[in-house]
Amino acid sequence: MSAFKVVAALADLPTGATKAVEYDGAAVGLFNVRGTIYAIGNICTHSYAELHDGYVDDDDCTVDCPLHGARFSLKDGGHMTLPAVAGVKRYEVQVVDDQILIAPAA
Amino acid sequence: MTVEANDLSFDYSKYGFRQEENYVFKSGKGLNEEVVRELSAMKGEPEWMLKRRLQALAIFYNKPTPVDGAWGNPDLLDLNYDDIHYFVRAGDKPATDWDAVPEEIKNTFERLGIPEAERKFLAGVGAQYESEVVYHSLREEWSKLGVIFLDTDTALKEHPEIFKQYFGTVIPSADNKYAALNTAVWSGGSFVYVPKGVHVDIPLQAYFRINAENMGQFERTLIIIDEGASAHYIEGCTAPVYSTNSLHSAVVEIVVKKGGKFRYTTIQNWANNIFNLVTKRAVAYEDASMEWVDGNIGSRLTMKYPSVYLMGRGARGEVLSVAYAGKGQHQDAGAKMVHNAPDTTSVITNKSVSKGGGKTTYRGLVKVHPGASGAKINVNCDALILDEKSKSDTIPYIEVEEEKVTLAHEATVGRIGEEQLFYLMSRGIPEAEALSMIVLGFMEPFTRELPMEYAVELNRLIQLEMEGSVG
Repeated sequence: MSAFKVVAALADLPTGATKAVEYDGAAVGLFNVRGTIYAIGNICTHSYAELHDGYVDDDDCTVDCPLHGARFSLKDGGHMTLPAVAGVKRYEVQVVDDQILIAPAA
Repeated sequence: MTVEANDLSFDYSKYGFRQEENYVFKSGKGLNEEVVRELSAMKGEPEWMLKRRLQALAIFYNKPTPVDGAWGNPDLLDLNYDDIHYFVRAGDKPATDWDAVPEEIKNTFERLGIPEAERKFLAGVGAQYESEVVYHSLREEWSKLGVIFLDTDTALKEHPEIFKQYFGTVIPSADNKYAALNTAVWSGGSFVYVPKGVHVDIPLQAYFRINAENMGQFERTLIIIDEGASAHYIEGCTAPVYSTNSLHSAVVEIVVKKGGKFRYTTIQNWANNIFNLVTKRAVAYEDASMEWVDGNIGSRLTMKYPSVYLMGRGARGEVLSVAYAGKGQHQDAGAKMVHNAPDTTSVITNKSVSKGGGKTTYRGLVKVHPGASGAKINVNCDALILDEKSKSDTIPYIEVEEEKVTLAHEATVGRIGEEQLFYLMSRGIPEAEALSMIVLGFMEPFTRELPMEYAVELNRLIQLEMEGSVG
């Protein structure tokens, strides 16, 4: 399993906020949904757009791509609607000393 | 004798007609949050649908009008969103038997031939008059099999779980500006669910039309064909002549599960001031088959590209379409096929006729994702241009990211040859009839796929159009 790396300070991601970060050069979106932090690949698999700019549904724990509305699960990165036909990578998240650390999920 | 001398004007008064307007409710012109809230409250919708509508409204406001780029059209700038009624209700609630349908609406349907068809062999008819479905019937044996065929508003009330599970999953609100608009103000349309293994062998039919000036029609159709099931759905439209622009913007979402088969047949015949901006998309899973049969006549501008996402091994998609553009009309129609699984097959056949300065465009996309090995694609576009003033464009986008693919693209463009006309006339056929025969023959691959009464109607429309075309 890849190593956890610090990508942001917890203070930069209050509840309801999103943030674009990088892990080894890969674009990752951070999402704080009701106090739980999720990290998934930040680029929509359908057409180039950053998911952290999209609409987050707190109830369903999903994000809609801002460009064409493809929906992804924040829990596992899976695609839930067209026009996306593939999911994005999921990252494990840890919070240590008010820092957010992520690592690619196995 | 030259083809250029022919004036093939399309006279809608021959079959377009208007009944007196008589509405239970008609919203003011223009669109805002209040209109959306009022519409949703009037329908007694659940909170999640109102939330979805309001989100879509925000998306509609934020998305620019697609005037340029790969799928844009500058004519859309002429569309004035503030000059449209977004919700009109013709009757109190959907009726389940013919006698309950208001007399005036019945007159309209009778002129359209619906009762005749009903008597003969139509099994289920959902007729949309203005923004609301007013008449529905479904054969008893189908209900027993679990087939659901309702207007979309009723389906939301009676089958909320299945509705919420699929609504917006094939075409999200943000897919394009007009899908967002439809999601914000949708009203009416058809909902079909065919359970596992059930074969509906008589077509499900919905007949609808617009009858009010400046009225937008935003029907929403959701169809689910469960595993191993099959069905055929047909819709047709006519519209009378208008004095100002009107907008029709529908969304059709279809899910065909493993081994399912579905065909969706449309003949749209809009008055030539209507913007017809429709998003139609289907997803076909393993060994499923999805066919769009799509006829476009009239309208000022039609933009419509029925799509099939082939998501399981062995899935098959087909689009068979015709477009007829007369003076001042632009038929921008095409198809999209997205291959995302091995051994998938798609066929696109597009035929277009332009005359009197009309313009037809075929715009299509074939996309093959990595891993869709063994995909087979056949694209065929034929354009017939009847005079010097008319135009036709073919814009095929092809994106193949897999090596083992067989793809054929064929496009032809031509005019009616004087030799063809001369030959027919030498056999004693008058020129007008000869022209008509050639055009009908050109469209024959499409009309032969239609049920008999639709084929007859389409041929009659084309013949009407060809009337007075000589001399």
